Amino acid sequence: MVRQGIKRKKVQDAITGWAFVSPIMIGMLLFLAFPLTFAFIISFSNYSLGTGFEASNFAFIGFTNYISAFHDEYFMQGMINILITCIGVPIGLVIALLLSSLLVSNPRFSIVFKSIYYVPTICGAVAITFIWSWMFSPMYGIINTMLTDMGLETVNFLGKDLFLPSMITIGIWSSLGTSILLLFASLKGISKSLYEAANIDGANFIQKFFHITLPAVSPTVFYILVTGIAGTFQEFTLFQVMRGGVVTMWSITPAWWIYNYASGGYGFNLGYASAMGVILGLFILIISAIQFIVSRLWVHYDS
Amino acid sequence: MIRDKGKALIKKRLKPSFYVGKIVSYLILTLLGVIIIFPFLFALSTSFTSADNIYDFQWIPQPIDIGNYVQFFSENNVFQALGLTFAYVIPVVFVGTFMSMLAAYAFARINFKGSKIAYYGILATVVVPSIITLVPSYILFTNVYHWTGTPLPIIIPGMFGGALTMFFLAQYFKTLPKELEEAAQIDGMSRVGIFLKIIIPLSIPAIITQIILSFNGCYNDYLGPLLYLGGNEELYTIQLLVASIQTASSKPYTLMMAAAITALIPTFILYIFCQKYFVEGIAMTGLK
Repeated sequence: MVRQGIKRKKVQDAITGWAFVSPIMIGMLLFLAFPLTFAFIISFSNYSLGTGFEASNFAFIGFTNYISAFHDEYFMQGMINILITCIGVPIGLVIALLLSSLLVSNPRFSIVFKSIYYVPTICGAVAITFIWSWMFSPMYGIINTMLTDMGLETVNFLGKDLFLPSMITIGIWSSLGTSILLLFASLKGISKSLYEAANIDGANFIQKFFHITLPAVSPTVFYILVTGIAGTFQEFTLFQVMRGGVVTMWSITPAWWIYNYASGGYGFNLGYASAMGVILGLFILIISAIQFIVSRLWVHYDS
Repeated sequence: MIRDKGKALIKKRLKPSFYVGKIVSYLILTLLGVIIIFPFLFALSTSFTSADNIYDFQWIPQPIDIGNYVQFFSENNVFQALGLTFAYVIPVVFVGTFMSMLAAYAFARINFKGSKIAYYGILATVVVPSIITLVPSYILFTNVYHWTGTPLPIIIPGMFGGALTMFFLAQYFKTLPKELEEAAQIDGMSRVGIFLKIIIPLSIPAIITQIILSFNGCYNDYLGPLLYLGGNEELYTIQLLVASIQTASSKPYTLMMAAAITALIPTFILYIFCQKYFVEGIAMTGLK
């Protein structure tokens, strides 16, 4: 009787278990696994949107799309642009580390500061881009107005030469809040006795930072680096809205270039667009994997 | 007593440099706060400045001019765009979060064959950069599902639940005490009953956090709506409407600021009332 009861419960659990997880599994299958497989298949063809799925409408053309992508000036320049933009991730991280250390050692009002720093993170990228487009505007923008008030020349922040540094600035500004919040939480978790012991041993500020603080927050630092870089590589809204949709070599990003093909601006060559998507996606995965491998040297999970 | 005296002595000795340090620290912290808030205040002031006075910026515009807002609301269907945005976002947020909750509960609490593989399989999808599936999804939605010209591509996929939401909720469910469930099971309560009557009521803060984060993400989304609704102004979300205020050749800044501030108002309202949950959501992300 008991054994039968246990068996029945097991079967029941299996049925409820799978019933409960089936919606998310179906979703993953339909909207992720299927498109993912499809991406690889299509990327080897000359498929374009107007055609149906009859085999006669498109042909498999081997690696042609991939080869074209590596010869595509805009796609390649987009990759370079976004690699440069990634510099903002470590810079933002250092600023966030300094600020969150300050916050931890000055806990009074830290809640107020944290909630202020967090504001840009929750705001839509379109609005943020509009606001910074106006801040940086060469005509009457506040930064240039301040520069001329100080007797300096106006600077074209959104022109060819300074476009990427300006985007990096906006990126740091808008992501600082999340980094500070995350680092604050993990800094708070460090046991005070560690610092007291170090003080007794006569360790200075820098020694304490590199031997206690940094190892303790290294998992958070690593998380911010990996997600920040993966996110930057797929950057679209900031660049596209900042340029009002106008494509130029110095402002293109790979995601924007792929979008242009998908949205039909370049003749719906979706096989080619898929190939670029696969390249960019694999590139992000490889960079993340490298970070994971290197992380073994400096990330401490057991503290 | 002796310890207290010692502490007092140390404090006395540190006094001058201690206060200088405090002042410098708070100056830096405040400076960053100003840098963070400054662009928003600048945008707010600009939005109340008439386009003719744009060359003469004042923090409190003289006169305060609501013309930009009047123009933005009269030339565009702002309320329709806001209403549509909510109509697109709400099914994703509520149905999607519920589906994630169901799966999270099964993975956290029900012991069934294959659950480990399924769990890690779903989690592994998090590393797939969404850019890979952008184009093939577009083909599927337009050529296979024939959802062209409808908002379905930005609604339906989200309603099946998300891997990250599922993960955070599963982590949370694992921390709940098992005794309540066991007692309920002995009383003959079904799994569905336990889920609805015990797990959900115990997890309200975690669920609200996920709902808010999901809402904010969907509300702010630009690329998805642009790709699927880009050509159809009747279906525009608020983000698309705001973005359409500028054109390739003209940037009417005062009007753009009015549009940006309008789009930010729901976000700010949500943040003011649910700040705790936003912050908790971030703390959850940091969990390992």
